Amino acid sequence: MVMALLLMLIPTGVSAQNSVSVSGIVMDDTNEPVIGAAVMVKGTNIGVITDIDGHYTISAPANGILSFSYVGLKNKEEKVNGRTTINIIMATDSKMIDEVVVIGYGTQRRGSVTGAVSAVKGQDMIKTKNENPQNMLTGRIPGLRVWQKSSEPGTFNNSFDVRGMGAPLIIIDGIPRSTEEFQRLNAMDIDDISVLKDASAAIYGVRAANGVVLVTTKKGGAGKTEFSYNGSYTFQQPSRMPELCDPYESMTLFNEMSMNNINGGSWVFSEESFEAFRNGTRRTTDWNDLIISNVAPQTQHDISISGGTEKTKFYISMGYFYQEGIFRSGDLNYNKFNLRSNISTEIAKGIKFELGVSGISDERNTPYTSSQDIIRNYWRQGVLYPAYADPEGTMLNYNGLDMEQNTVAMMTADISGYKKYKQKYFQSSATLTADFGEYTPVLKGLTAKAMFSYDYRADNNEAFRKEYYQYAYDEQTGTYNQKVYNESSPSNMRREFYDKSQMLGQFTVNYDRTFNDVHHVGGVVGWEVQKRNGDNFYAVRDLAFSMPYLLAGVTEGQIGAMQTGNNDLYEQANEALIGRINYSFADRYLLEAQFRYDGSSKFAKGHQWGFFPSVSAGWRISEEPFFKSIDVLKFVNQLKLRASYGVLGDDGDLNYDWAMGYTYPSASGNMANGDYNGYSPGYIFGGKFVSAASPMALPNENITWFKSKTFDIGFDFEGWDGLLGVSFDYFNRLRTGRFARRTGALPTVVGATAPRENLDSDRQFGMELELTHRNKIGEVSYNLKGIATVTRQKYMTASEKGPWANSYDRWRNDNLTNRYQGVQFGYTSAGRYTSWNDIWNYYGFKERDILPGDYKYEDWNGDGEINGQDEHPFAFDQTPWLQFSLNAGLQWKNFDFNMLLQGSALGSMEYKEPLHEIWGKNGGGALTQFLDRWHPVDPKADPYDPSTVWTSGHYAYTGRWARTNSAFNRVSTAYLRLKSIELGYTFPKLKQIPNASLRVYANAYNLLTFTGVKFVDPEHPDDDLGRMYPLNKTYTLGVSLSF
Amino acid sequence: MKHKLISAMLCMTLATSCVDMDIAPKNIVTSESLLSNESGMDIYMARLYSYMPWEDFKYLSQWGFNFSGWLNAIGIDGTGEAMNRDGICRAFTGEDYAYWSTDGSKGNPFMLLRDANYLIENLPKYQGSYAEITYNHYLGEAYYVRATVFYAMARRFGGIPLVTKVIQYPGDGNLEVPRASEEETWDQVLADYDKAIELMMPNSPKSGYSNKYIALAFKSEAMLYAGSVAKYNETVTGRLTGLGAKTGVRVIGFDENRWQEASKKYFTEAYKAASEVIKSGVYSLYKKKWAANDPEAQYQNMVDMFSDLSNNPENIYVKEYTYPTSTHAYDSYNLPLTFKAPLNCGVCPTADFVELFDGFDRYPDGTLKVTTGNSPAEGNYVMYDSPMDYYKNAEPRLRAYVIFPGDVFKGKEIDIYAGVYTGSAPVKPLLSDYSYGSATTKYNHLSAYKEKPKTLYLSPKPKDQQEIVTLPDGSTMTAAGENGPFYEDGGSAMTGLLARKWLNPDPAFVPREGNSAQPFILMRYAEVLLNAAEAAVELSLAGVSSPDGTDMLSVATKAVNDIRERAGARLLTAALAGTTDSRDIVRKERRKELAFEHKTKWDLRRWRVNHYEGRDGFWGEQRDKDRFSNTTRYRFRGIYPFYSTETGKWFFDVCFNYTTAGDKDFGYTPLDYYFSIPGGEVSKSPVIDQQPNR
Repeated sequence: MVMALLLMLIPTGVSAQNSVSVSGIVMDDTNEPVIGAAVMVKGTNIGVITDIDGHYTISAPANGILSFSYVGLKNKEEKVNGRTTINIIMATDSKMIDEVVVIGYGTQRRGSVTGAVSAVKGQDMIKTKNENPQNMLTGRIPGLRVWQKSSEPGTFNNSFDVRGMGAPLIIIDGIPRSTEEFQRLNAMDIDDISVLKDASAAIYGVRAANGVVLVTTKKGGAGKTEFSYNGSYTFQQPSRMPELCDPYESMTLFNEMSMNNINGGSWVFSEESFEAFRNGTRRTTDWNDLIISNVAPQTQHDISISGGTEKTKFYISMGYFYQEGIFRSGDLNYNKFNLRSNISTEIAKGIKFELGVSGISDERNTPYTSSQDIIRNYWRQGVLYPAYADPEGTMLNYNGLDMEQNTVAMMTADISGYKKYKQKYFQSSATLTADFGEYTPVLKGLTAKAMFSYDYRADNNEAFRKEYYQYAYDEQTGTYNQKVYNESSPSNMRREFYDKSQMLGQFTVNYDRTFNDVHHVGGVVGWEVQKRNGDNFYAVRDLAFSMPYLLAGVTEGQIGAMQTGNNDLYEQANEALIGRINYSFADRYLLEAQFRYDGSSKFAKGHQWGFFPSVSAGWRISEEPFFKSIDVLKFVNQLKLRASYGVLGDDGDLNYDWAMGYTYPSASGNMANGDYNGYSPGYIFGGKFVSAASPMALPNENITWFKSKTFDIGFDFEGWDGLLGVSFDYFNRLRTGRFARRTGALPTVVGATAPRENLDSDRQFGMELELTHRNKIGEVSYNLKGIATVTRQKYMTASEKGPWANSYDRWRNDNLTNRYQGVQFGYTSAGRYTSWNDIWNYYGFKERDILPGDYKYEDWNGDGEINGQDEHPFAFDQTPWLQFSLNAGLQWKNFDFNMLLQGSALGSMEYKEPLHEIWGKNGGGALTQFLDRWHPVDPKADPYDPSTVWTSGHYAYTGRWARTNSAFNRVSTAYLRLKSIELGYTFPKLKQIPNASLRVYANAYNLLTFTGVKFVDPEHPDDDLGRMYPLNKTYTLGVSLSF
Repeated sequence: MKHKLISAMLCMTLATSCVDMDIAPKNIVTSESLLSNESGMDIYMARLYSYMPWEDFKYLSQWGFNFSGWLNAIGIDGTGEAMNRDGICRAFTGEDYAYWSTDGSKGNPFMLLRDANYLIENLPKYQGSYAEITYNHYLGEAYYVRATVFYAMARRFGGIPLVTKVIQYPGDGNLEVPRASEEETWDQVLADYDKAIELMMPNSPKSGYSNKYIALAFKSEAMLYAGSVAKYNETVTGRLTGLGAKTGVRVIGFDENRWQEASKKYFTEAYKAASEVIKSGVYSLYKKKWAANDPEAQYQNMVDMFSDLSNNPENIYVKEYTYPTSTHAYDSYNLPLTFKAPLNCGVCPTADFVELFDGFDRYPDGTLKVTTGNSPAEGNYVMYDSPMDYYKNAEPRLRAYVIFPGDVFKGKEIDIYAGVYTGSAPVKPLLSDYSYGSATTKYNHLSAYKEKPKTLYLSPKPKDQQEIVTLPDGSTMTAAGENGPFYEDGGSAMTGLLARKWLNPDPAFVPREGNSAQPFILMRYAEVLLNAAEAAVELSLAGVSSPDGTDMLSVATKAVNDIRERAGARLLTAALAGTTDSRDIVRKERRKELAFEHKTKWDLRRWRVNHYEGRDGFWGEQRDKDRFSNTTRYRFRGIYPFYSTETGKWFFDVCFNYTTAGDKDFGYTPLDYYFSIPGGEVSKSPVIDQQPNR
C-alpha cells in the first residue's frame, strides 16, 4: 500500500532526448479560450495547465501523445508527431457525470451522488424572466413545486415546496437563510441551485425534513477582469382580470335579478334610467379604465465585475430593480438594490481566505388601502355612479357609492395616504480554509475550514392614513356638498421597526482522497453553532394635521408597543455536530452515511438534543466490467441505481410548549381600530386601558420535534451520448409525532387549552420523472427536458376532532385519520334544465322556482332530493398533485432560443363571492362574465311563463347562482402554459475587441395559458375571496454586454 | 505563519462555539410576576374582566358572547322594545356562541373559572406582598368573577358544572365535573356573591374594579332571577323541571317539595342585598337637570344620565371604553339615516313599546288612538299640524329613550314619515283590518298606491329612489322622510321611530365604525330600587316578613314613585300591596325604565311570560296576547306618520310593521326557557347531561 502510494507520487522517469517543446491554444467549441485545462503527456505525470488565454507550453516526446482534459469538456488526445504548435478545440462533454454538485457541507461529482439531488445552473434559471428567483425555478427542477399567487410588486407571494413536503430550508452560501432573502437575491448573482430532496438533507438535521435548497452565488475566476452589464425593460399586463359591464348591461342584469322572482318580479331600473345614461343626464364611471392600467413598467439593471489572479479572485455586482403595479395611480410599486462582493485570496501556501458580503435594500409602496380592497371596492361599486362629482373630474364623488367609498381616492397615495415597507439585509461570511495536502503529501485530501457569518435584517414600515374630503352634487340647490370621508379621519401614522440578526460559526474538517485509483474515501466532520435574535417596536399616533411624521401627532390615544410573536421577539441558540463519510469502490459501488447531532434552545432542558442519521448507496452498473463488455449495451453512457434512507427532524412552529406562563400583552387583529368589532384584549382600570396577559396552553415538558423517516429509490440513465436521459425517483416520507392537541379528549370543564403533544402521523409519497434529450443537427444544437412530479399526502393518524354524532358525521367531518388530504366535498353535475319540458319531466323533488338554465345536481344518494347528504368527495383542492414541464433550448449560429412549457393537474379552485355571483348592490358587482347567461330573449317577458323564449348561456338566469361547492362552481385548475419563451441574438465578435460580447433578447412570461378556468389565472388562488391582485404576463426586451 | 493562521481560525469559531443553550423565552411572563404586585394584578385582572359575560355594546342576543360589536343593536331580541332589519332580530331562544364555548376568543366560562380559581389557590403564596384589605379585595374579586360566570350560565342553562378548583391536567385522575342541580347552582351563586361581598372593599381600588356594593347590586339581580325561576316554573304547564339522563340530577327546575322554600329564600336574599345598597346611601337617582313639572328638563335629565359619567350618583357599575384603544361602533350602526355612518337605524322602537308610556290618547282597549272611532279601523284619522304634535304629551322618559318623528337630535330635526296621501280629507283608515290575522298586509299592496290615479305615495328606498310628490302649490316633496321608513330598505326608521338611548348626543361627534367610546352602564341604582320593589312584593305575596326590619312595601312604593317622578310619569295613586296587580305595576315600571339595557329579555324569561300560554303578561302589564300573537308566533307594530296634501296636516297609522325588512315574527316555547347544552359537549362527555326536555 505504502509502495503504491509512493509510486503514485514519484514522477515516472522519461528520457529527455526526444523531447520537443510544444505550445498552443486550447479553445472550446464556441471559440472561447479554455482556462485551466490540464495538458498531460500521456503515460507520464508531466502536465501543465492552460493560462487565461488558453495558452500552454509543455515539453513532450516528439512521438508522444498529449491528452487534454477539462471538466465539462470531452477529453481529447493528440499525437505530437514532432509538431511544436498544437491548437486544440475541445468539444462540450455531453456526459454530466463529472459535473460538480453542491450538497450539504461540501460538493460531490454528479456521478457519485447517491441521494435525490437535483441542480440547476444560474444561467439556465434566468431563461425565465421574472423578478423572483422562485418563479425562475418553476418547471426547472423535478420535485420542486412553485406557485405564484400574485404578481403584486414586492410581495413575492409564492408558495414553494419540495415534493409537497412543506417549506424547505434555504441555505445560501452554506448558511441557513430565509425564503425572503432568497426571493430578493439578484438572479444574476446565482451560480447554482441544488435541491436535496431526500435523506441527503439529514446533515441539516432538525430543520431539514422538508428538503433543502442550496444556493451558491458566483465567485471570481482567475483571468482577465470581466465587466458585464445586463439591462432589461419589461411591460406587465394582468393575466386575466375580470372587468365591469357598462351601465346598460349592469342595469339589465339587475333587472333580471329582480324579475327572477316566482312571486312576480319587476324591473328595478326603468326605461328612464337607461335613457338617463343615453342622454347624459346620468354619468357613468369606467372603473376598469380609471383604476387598472393595461401596461405597467418594470426594469432591471445589473453590473458585475469579476476576475482575479491565481491567488486572489473577486466577484462584485450591483443590481437595481423597479416594478410598478397595475393601478393607474402608480402608487403601488417596488424598488430594490442589491450589492454583492465575493472575494477570496490565498494568504499563505494552502491557506485561503474568503469574504462574502451582500446587501439588499428594498422598498415596497402601496396605497393605504390594500390592493385586494381596491379591487374589491371598484368591483362592488359598479358603474352607475360617477367617480367625480363634477363633469370636469376635479372633485371626488361620494354620492351613490356604497359606504361612500371612492376607489380613485383609495388607490391614490396623495389623497388617502400610503404604506411603505422597507427592508434592509446585510449578509456576511468570512471563511478560512487550510489545505494540509499542500504541506505534506501524507495529508493530501485533508482540509479544514472555519467560517463565521453575521446576518442582519431591519424592517422599517410606515402606514400613513390621510384625511380627505369627497363631494356630492346637490341637484336641488345646484351646489356641491363637501364631506370628510369618514374612515380617513383623523389622519394617523403608524411606524414599525423590526430588527433581526443571526450569527453562525462553523468548523469543519474535510477529507477527500482516492487510494489505488479505486478506493475513494471522503468525509466531513464539523461543529456548528448558531445564535438568532429578534426585536421590534411600533408606535401609532393620530395626527393633528396631515403630515406623515409622528411629530404631528396628538397626545390622545397614542400607542407604543411591540409584537411578541415567536418570530418577532426571540433569542435562540443552536449547536450541532455533523458528520459524513463516503466510500466508493472503482466508481461502481457508492456508499454514504451522514448524521447530525442537533441541539436547540427551543426545548426544555434535557430534551434539547437529537440525533439524525442517514445512509445511501449507489450502484453504477454501467461501470461494471461485465456490463462494459456487452456490446449491445454500448449505447449506455451511464446507468446508476441509488437508494437512501434517513431520519430527519422538524421543530416546525414549536412555541415553547414546555413552558408554563403567560403571553403579554394579549393581542388581537384589530387593535389599531379599537377592537370595535371583536374581543378587546384588556380592560379599563382607573381610566386607562390595561392590556391583559393570556395564559398559554397547558405545558408539555416532553414535547419534541417530530420525526421524518424519508426513503427514496431511483435510477439515472443516459445513453446514445445524450439522445436520451432518464431519471426516476419514488419517494416516501413518514412523519410521526406531529404536533396535535387532544382537544376532543380534554373535558371542557378544565378550562384550558390542551397542550400540544407528539401525536399525529402522515405520509407524503410520490414519483418524479425527468427525461432529457440533447442533440446537434447540422448547425442547430438543441436540448429538451421534460419533468413530471406527482405527490400526495395521507394522514395516518390524526387526533380526534370529534365528538361525532354518528359514523356519517365522522366520515363527513373528520376527514383526517387514514385519509388522503386535499379532497373537496360537494355536488356533482347532472347537467342543466334545458327547457320547461325538462323541468316538468325531471325526476325527484324540485324547488318550485326552477327555471330553464338552472343547475341540476346529481342525486348522489338517490333519495330523490338534493341536500347536504348528496355532497361527496368530488374535487381536489387548490394545491395540485401533479406538476409537469417541458423545457426546450435551441442554438443556431448566433441565435439562441429557450422555451418552457409548464402546467399542473389534479387541482381545483372555487369561484368565491365576486367571481361566483354579482356581489354588489345598485348595479355593483356586474362583471362582464355574468352576461353569458340564460335569459329570456325579451327582457320584459315573465320568466315563469312557459311560452317565454330563452337564450342559453354559461350561467343560469341572473340571480340563480350555482351552489358554491358544486361542480358548476369548483373547476379543475389543470393548465398548460407557456411559462417563458426567449429569443436571443449574440452579435458577432469584433476584431478590435475580441473579448466583448453583446447579446440582445426578447422574453415573454406567462404568454399563453390553456385551462378550463375562466376569468382568472388558474394559479390565482381563491384567497381573499378571489380578489387577490392578479398574476401578470410580461414582455421583456433586454441586453447583455460583457468585455 | 501557519500557527498564527490556525490559531486565528480556531479563535473565530471558538468565539461562537460556547453558546448558552438555556435561554429563557423572552416573550413569556411567569405567574409570579403577575400575582406578586399591584400592577401585575391589574394585568391579571384585566384578562378576567375582559372576558366577563357582560351584555353591552359588544353583545348581541343572537350571537351570544363573541365580544363582537359588529352590527350591535339593543332591544331587538323579540322583547318588543325594538325591531331591526337584519337576521339578528330574533327571539331570544338561544345564542349562536353558547356560553359553554371552548373557543378561547369567544365567551369561554370554564377558562374564566380556571383563571378565577387559580387566583384563589395561588394568591395566598403572595399574601405578604399586600396590605390585608388589598389582599382580601383581590380574593373577593376572584369570588365575584366566579359568581358572575355561574350566574350567567345558570340563567341560560339551569344547573351547570360547578368548577370551584383548578383542575390539573395531567394530574387529576377524573377531570369531569357533571352538572349540579339548578338549586345547588343558585346556592353556589349566592355563596360566591356573599364571599365576595364579605372580602371586597366598599370602594373600588380603581375604577373598573368591583366592590362590596357592586357585588350586592348584582347579587340582588341574580337572586331575583333565582327566586322567580323557582316560583314561575310552576306556572308553566306540566311544571318546568327534569332530571339529567346520565346523572339523574335535577338539572333544570326545582323539586316539587323544594321550590316554595327556595323561592322565598332567593327573594329574601334579593331584597336584603338591594336594601343594603339603598340603606348605604352611597347611590341616588340622577337628577342633575331635573325640575318638577318641567317635562323638557325631565327629558333632558334622562338624556344626560346616559352620557354624563362624571359623578353620576346613579351608576353602580359601568363598562368603560376609550378611543382609540378600546371602542365600539354603536353610533355607527344605530344613528338616524341623516347621520349615515355607514350603517344606521339599527334600533327602531315599536308602537307596542310606546303603548307602555303615559301621555297618549287610547282606544277603550288601551291601545294607541289615531282615529276618531273606537278602534283603528273605525272613524277618520285624527289630524296633527306636525308629527311632533302627536307626541307633545308623551312621558319625558319615553322621549329620552326614543327619537320621535320631527324631534331634534344632534342639532338636526329627524325627518320620519311613511308616505304622502293625496286623496281627499277626512281620511279613512288605510287598512280595513288591523288584527294579527292581517298582519302581512302592506301599504305598497294597496290599490291607492298601485293603481292610477294613485292617492298614496311611498318610497321603496332612500335618496334617489324616493318617489317624488308634487304638492298643490307646485312644490315637491319626497314620498317618505329622509329617515324613511322605506318599504324595501330596512336601513331606516322602519317602525316610524328610532332609539335615542346610548347614542352620543354631541353634535360635534362625527361617528364612524370604531370611534364610539361612551360607556355602558351595566348596573344602576334604578335597577336596585326595582329589584327591591319586586322582591318586596313577591315576599309579601308569599307571606314572608321583612328580613331586615325595613317596611318592604313602603320601600317598594317609594322606589316606584321615585323612578316615576324622575321619569315625569304619573305617580302611584295607592301604595303597593302583596297582590299580583302590584307585582305587575313593578314589572311594567321595570320594562319601561330598563328598556334597551339587555335586561328585559331576562325578565321575560324569569317571569315565564314569553310562551303562548303565559304571553298575556308579556308587556309587564296584562294585555290580550291574541292582539299581537297566535299560538306559535308573535309580531310588533309600528306607528307611521303620513302627510295629507289636501289638508297640509299629518295623521298616524298604527299597524304591524309593513316594510320588507320588518316582516318578522317571533316564536318562543317553554323549551326555550332553558337553552340547550351544545350537542358536542354532551356527546363528548360521559357526565354532561342535555336538558331533559330536549
